[in-house]
Amino acid sequence: MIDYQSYGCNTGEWLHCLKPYQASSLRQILSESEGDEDAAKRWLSITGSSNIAAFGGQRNSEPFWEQFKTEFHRFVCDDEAYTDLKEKLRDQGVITRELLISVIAAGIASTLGFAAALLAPAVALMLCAVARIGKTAYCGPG
Amino acid sequence: MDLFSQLVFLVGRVTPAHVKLLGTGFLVREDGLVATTFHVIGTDPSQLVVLAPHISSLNAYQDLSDTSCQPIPAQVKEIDPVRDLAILKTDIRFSGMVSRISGFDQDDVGSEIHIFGFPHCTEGRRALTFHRSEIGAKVILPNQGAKIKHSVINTQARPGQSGSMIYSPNQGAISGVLIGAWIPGPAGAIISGINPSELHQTTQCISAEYLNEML
Repeated sequence: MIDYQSYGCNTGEWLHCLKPYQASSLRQILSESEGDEDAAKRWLSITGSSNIAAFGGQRNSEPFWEQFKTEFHRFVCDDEAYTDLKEKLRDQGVITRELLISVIAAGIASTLGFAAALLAPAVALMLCAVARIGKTAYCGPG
Repeated sequence: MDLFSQLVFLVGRVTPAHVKLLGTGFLVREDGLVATTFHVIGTDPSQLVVLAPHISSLNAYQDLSDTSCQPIPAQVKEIDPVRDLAILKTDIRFSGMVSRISGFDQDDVGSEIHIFGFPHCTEGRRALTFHRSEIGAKVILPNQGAKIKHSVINTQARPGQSGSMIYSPNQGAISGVLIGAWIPGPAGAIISGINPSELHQTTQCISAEYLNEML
């Protein structure tokens, strides 16, 4: 079982686990957000500047945030979910923040068909939120 | 100039029927890292490819009836949704030297820039196209609290050019990435698939300096 609270809830320490460009953007987003979860939601909702018409690609109108949040909740709260990844983590002995972020991001990305590189910053913020209130409170009703 | 025919790629996604062309990308490192925009690849990392160069010289006639292609698998390495940039990892190995990455700081307004991309590729057209233009303005575009350096270039861009390389001949370096056209707000009336508010010569390009942090 992963003791999420043991990682601490210092947001700066979680951001330090990310790439500098990600951490830099997240600091800006956090300064305008109502906490870690709100910042994670904003990160996953960004599609470039609203005043630029994109000239390429395919639009994805799926409710991205809700899907991510559901899977993250499953990973943390459902002992029967992602068991293979949790076993791999246990086999590592020491589970660093970086390892935890990358494994959860890759697992959720694989389930949802999203890019892990995009999910990792949101995972870091959500783990910080879990560490802040504890797994019991995060997974509790409501 | 012909070097750019080997450095600029179509980015696409393999579907059961064909390769759906999404936009443009370009090599930023000899070991196969390709830069493009986030909106070109979207959130789905599956079945992404870049197409191997189909010409060896920019002066070659590009056969638009030739639909054969050589897809090279691409994995998403980095995504920056705030700056609308992405880095793809491919098995491309380039024996020459890739242009260094710079930004717009060293270029003045009025400086010539070269654009290499695939206009209309999203409509199935494969024609690597060179445009010569100049920097019309340097602007800061805010997004999520970040203030991001862009240049307005004095040319009209079209779908498929997102992710195009902006090359500064003055610097001998990649100075930007084409993002799209400035629009005043939500799309208005779309006429025959065209948004009239996109039809102008104020194309927005992000400074390439942000790519350095992603490599």
